[in-house]
Amino acid sequence: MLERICGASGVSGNEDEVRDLLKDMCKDYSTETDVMGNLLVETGGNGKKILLAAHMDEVGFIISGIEDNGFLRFKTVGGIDIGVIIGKRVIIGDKKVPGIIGIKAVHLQKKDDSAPAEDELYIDIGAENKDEASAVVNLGDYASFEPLFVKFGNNLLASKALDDRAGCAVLTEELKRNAGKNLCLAFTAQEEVGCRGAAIAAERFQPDVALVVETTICQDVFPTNLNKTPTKLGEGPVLTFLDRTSVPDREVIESLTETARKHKIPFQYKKTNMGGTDAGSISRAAEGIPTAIVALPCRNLHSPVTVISLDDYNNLIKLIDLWLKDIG
Amino acid sequence: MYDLILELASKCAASGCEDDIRRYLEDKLSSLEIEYDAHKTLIAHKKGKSSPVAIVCGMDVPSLFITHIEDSGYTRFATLGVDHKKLSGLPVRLQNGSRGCIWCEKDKDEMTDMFIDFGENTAKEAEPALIDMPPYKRGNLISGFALGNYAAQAAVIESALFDSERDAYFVFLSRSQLGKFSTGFMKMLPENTEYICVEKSDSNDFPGEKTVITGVGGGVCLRMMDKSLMPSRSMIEKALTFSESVRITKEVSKRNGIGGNLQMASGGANVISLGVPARYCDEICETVSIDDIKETAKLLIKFLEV
Repeated sequence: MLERICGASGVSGNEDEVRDLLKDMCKDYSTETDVMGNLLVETGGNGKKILLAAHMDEVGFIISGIEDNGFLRFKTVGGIDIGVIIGKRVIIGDKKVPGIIGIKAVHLQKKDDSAPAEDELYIDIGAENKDEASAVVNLGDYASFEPLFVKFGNNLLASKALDDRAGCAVLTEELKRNAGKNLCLAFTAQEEVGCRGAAIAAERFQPDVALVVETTICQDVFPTNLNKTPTKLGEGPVLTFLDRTSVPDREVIESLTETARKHKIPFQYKKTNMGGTDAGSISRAAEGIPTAIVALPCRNLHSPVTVISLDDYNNLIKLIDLWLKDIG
Repeated sequence: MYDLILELASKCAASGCEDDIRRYLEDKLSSLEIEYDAHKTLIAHKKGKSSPVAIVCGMDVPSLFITHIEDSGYTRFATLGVDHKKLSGLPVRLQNGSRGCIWCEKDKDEMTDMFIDFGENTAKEAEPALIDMPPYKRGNLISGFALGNYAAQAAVIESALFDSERDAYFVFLSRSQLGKFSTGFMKMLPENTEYICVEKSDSNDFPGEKTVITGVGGGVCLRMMDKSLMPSRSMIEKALTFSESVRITKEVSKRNGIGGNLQMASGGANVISLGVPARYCDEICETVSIDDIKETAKLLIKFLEV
């Protein structure tokens, strides 16, 4: 399931493919797609109305020009480090045209430490000229990283778009396990370009409490200084008490930590206030919604090879499942 | 007034961890009807006549949160609402009474390079830490950490305790330090409510400033605009009608105040913003004048008279 969800294209503003896939996965429940492109699912069960939200969009590219020689110009969608994308494979548009992000050969570059500018890069789809390229690609087409799904090391998983398809997969799992509860699921659109969809979804549902299921910064590669390691892979789901977009609700955080301790599920706090999530938009929607964030540590965020630990993933599913049961 | 400031400053008011200050305010405003919204913003209602007015200030103040505890016991932190580069050498305390001081690794200046030395490992991850600098008085001035915030709160409390007749709501916002905050409480108030925000204003009456716009001791600042708010002209004009009895300084602020959020919420609202002038705004030792707090309260009370 996770492989299928991660493999779907869904750059911010063009989430159709991943949304259709998720809609199919939730077909036994009441679903709707709102004007922002959020996929909203309701179980209509009893008890507290609980919103689980995960964003289905991913960072990517939009085609901004086709050169006479058939090479494509592009703009990034969402926060992408230009240095990371050189030489990477992408797929473009509905026809899924394969391409490679290129740059002038290193032999021809001037010696300069700075990262290249976006307009120095291009996408090579192997076209001979503009006409040939225009036959398969249009201006405004979206491009996403080529799907990749590799299990490796100590139960680790590498894929594109684990941010936040891993969260989406967790939501579908919680739906199966907690269908009798009064759950609202929001697979949100346009998170990567300013958390735009979540506010609309929260306004529509107006839940009693919300939990944003995310991936978060993991920089445990050279852990010489643990203070500069916001989270660590394999040490459990991450709870955030402060970031750039929200001050999550302490009571909800405490209820999550209680559940984790009670059931001996490992968890960690995020050791930085950097980054932002849909929690900001959701918490301020309607009359204000108590909202918390629970996340998977994820290496190489916003790159073609995001990495999570499947142990963390399973613990996250378990934590949310038991939390839902604990809070009634 | 000084005692009120001392009391406010002794409470924990870190964003999201405001139970301490909330309890204090509940007690202080116990003669009013207290309600909370979903974010635990406190709304104290004084039932009265005429069209309703809401007087709004932040409940929380700039704060530190523990992010990591080293094996050695040194404690790392993140800040909200205060520049970490200004914190070196300052004393802090935890809610359990443990006291420590802040320092930075040699030749470094990132937040992650800074640490708190509590002497023993008593802190917990995610816990707030408070700057441990009780306000002090010198003549008519009070100085201390986040004094501008406490001054605004004090002015609102003073006005809430005044025996006025207008239907009035006194609102203490939870988690306002992030800049964006929930305006959900507005949906609990009548649609025709007018909003008066009370904040701190940058005073620049110190050496090196050629043109003093706002000075400590100059009275209450009436914000003509700030980074997020174009205030209600009719409410500004109304405020100015009180200028014979209240010292008012007009101010164009570069701050990102709380008024903009309110103005754009709930289908739009009439909002003005008042400021208590604070010297060294957003620095470690803000300085305000007791007279200015009183003038701010006086202007608020004028609005509360039917």
